[in-house]
Amino acid sequence: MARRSVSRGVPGWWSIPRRSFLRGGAAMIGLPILDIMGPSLKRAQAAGAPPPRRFVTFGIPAGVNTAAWKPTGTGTGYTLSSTLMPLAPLKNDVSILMGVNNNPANGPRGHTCGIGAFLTCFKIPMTDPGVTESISADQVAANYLKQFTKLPSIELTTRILHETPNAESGFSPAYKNVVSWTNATTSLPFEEVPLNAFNRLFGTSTTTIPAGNSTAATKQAMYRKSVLDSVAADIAAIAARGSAADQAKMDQYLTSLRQLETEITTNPPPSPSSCMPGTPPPAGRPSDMNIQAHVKQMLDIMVMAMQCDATRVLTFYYENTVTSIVHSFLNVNVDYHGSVTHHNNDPQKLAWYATVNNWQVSQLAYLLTQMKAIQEPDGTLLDNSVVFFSSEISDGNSHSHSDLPIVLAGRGGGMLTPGRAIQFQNANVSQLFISMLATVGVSVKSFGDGTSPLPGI
Amino acid sequence: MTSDPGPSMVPRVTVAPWVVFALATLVAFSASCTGTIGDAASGARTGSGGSRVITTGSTGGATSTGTGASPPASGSGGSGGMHGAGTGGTVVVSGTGGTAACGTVDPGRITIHRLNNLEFDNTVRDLLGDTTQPASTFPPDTGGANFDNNADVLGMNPLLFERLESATDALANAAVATGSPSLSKIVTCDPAKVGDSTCATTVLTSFARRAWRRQPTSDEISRLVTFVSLAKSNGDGFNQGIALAIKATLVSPNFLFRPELDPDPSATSPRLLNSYEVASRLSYFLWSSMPDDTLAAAADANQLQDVASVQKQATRMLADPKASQLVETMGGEWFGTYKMANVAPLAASFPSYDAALGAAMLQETTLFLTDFFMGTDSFLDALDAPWTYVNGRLAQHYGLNGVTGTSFQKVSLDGTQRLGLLMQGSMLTTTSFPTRTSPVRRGQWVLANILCSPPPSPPDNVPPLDQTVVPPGSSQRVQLEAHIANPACAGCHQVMDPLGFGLEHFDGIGHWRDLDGTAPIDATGQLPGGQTFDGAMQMVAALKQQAPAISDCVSRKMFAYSLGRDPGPADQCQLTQLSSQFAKANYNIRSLIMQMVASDTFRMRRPVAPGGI
Repeated sequence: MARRSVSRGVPGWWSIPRRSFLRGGAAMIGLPILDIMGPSLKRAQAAGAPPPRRFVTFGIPAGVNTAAWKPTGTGTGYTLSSTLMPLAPLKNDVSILMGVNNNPANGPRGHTCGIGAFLTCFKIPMTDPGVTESISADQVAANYLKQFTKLPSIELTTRILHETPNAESGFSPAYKNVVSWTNATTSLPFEEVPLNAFNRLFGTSTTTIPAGNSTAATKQAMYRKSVLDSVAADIAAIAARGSAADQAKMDQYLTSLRQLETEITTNPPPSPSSCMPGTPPPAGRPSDMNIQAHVKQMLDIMVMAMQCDATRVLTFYYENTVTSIVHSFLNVNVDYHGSVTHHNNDPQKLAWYATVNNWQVSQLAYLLTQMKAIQEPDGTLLDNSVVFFSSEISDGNSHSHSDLPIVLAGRGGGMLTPGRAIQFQNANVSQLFISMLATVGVSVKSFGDGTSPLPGI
Repeated sequence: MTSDPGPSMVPRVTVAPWVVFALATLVAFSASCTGTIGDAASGARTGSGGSRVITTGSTGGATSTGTGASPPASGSGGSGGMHGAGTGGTVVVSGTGGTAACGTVDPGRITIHRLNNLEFDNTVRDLLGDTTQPASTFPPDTGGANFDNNADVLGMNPLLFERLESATDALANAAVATGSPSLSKIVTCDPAKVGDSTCATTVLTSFARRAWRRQPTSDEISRLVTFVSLAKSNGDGFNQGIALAIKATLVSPNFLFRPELDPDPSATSPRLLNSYEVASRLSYFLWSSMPDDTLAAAADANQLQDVASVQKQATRMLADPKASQLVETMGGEWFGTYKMANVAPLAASFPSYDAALGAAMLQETTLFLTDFFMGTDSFLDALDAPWTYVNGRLAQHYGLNGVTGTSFQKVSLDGTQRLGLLMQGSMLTTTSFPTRTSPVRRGQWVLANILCSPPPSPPDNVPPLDQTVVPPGSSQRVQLEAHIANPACAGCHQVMDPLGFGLEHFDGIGHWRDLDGTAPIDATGQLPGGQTFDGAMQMVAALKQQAPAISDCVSRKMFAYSLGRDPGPADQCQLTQLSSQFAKANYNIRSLIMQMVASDTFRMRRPVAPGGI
């Protein structure tokens, strides 16, 4: 097997597991070897195509117990804190960044302004119901990386926030329940149902195409495209007569249509024999009692999405910025936002806070471990990624946005040097995003309130 | 009634035969309920802690119609009258548009309106008879400042488009599938007899008219008809081509959005909406769905250009079972009871809570609000109504005797320590945390939803409370009073918290309690105006005195929901007019609905603001 030599003997996607290989055998007969190895490798091997680089963000709500979070010392010889202890086996793959602020998050509403600036570093204006945002860092990456994959990006959560009337007076609720923005007014909604995310990444269209019937598949794709052509004409007719606001919506419509059209016409779903997503997760949104399984399903889907090269930009946000989830499995039997993160320096609440933070970090460790286990031609999947783990708030009681808790993981294809605790003086998250974007091949001079990269990471 | 192809909406809960209690304080209510008061004398006040269910002569559905005040009837009859609301013009509307005093009206403009997920599901139900709720696969709606139908935030994104394309593919194929009940309604001609093109033109002209809620143009029909030749040239049949055209019709923004395209997009003067546009505004306001055949016919005949015609349709539509959607959606989002679907009181703190109790709480409020939306009562009376609807489960929760089973009954709350909307389980639960009450949230709820004066913003960085002042384990009240003592927090909390303190006798699921932990409940407080109270009964009595503020608030909510946009500074005169008319009509919500649809704001739009947007 040619692939074995590439994989340097380490099991992983690039060396297709033998069992999968046998299972997919029937469909593979007669296909050239490259066709069964997946689109990513093919592209990577094509002249001039860059090797896959991934941009991952992992958000946790409402800050951390900052005292329990802070590591001791700096540089490579630092000591992990109790909260960060789950990262011990990955210490050489992560850096702990301190003294990094998100100043545009400062505003009259800690959660709303924080989440509004979380990935955008944009100070949202007090508008309601309309919104004025700015493109988020993940979407800057997606604008470039989408040419290589089925989907430009995915945005996953375990709980979509749905607040309507007067939830945060003065600010539209539309600011608070998303983190990814493609432009000033278009946000990308979260997916909270694992099966939906799974089908979106790995499924085919709802139209049943007989297995192996490429003629039927081709015809179906042609029909779908014809429908989209007709719809595009309707969009244009409305846009021609609408106001600026109407035209903006028709722009959203046409952009969405074009994205699906691209998917239909140029990026067939990964062949089952090259990408084995495994058993789909159960239907529906897991109950609160199954929050651990819910998180694991989402993280597994993310790893598989990267392994299959279905997308290179992945955002996961645990719950939402004001979640009331009760972490019974950690013996924290009160709601998280109201009775834990608003700790009032109550020692019991601070202890609960640290307990939950520790578990959240263990989920990051799980994600990183899975990424590290996948060998690619030029390193592990984790080596070829940059992972940003943080919150929109530093301390949940003060709702401050300074000195945010940040774990930066992965080597960004060799552009990052993890394994350290780094103390900055008044650095900005926006600078970090500029640096992170560089690792995926996107060169920007400024982003948000940042005008230079973050040095020394 | 209507001739919609879809099944008529069946009430979700069987309401027991209309029961009333006769109280001197409810003269208007009783008097309007023709033929149902059979046991007035037995409605006397009952002893403490108990309730009295007063059964009366039964009335069935349609027989109780005739005034605007009929209650929910026995629910199994479908169109027999979910509300039995009057068609006899019992609602008195003063004036016509009622906006003369505002001078030249700026009716504003609504950004092109996307059907939200609920509206999408209802519309495909009425258009295709599909009840699978395909929008359950769509991303949830974001929600605007007041309601989920706010046009400003109903946009499009790639995920939604993917799901839309997928859902409409299934809808279109199901619509023309062999044996589908909708097939014969859609394909009304035989292509073998009249020819593919002629038949397709007939079929698609009719379908697009309904789906797009206007007459399609000949160019649009030509484009849709080509799908039949496309299908046939690829070896598929006529019906497959129709399915493709149906899909193209449903993926189109002409379906998913409600365009109100101006003949002159650059005009700055307001125009009267055309009859198609008025029909859509009416149906999505009152039904959250597409116009039915009667309304569509009125639009085709251009009969929706005057106030009387619009009000006549609105009156008819409120009597339709589909109007229950107005109560469920507007009421549910206004008062936040839609959150009942997501609340999760923790078993360790509230062992008696379960899904059945939560469902009963939601149903109680829906039935309660239905009386106020569809009847003649004053909305002010909702604040201290000494009656409600309960089933056995909820009666047990409230400590009421004499009600068993799953059917809901209207009961007196006399002699209990509970009355009115604010003391219903749904309100008290959705404003609580999973383990405890939140006087802050409850206070904010009253300010935002009854008085429309949400509290000012909190400061940026909230300092931790001083632990020497507030020992861990202190009562809610002690902890919150520390906020009030802190100058940085006082701005909000001095206004918010006392309203919530008034409700502290009700725990996180609305169960009566005398202690918070080990501390006795202190339910004293004061309203923003300074009026003091001790306990919830006195609080709502004091709140009810704020009639002008409440009237303004209800008018704002009606404006926002009916139009799918929030009022702005330019709308102030119209709002003042609405509020004034609402007060004159004894704060009756049904009258306010009629006033709203008659208003210039509802029936007009302007293409461009004089300033440019």
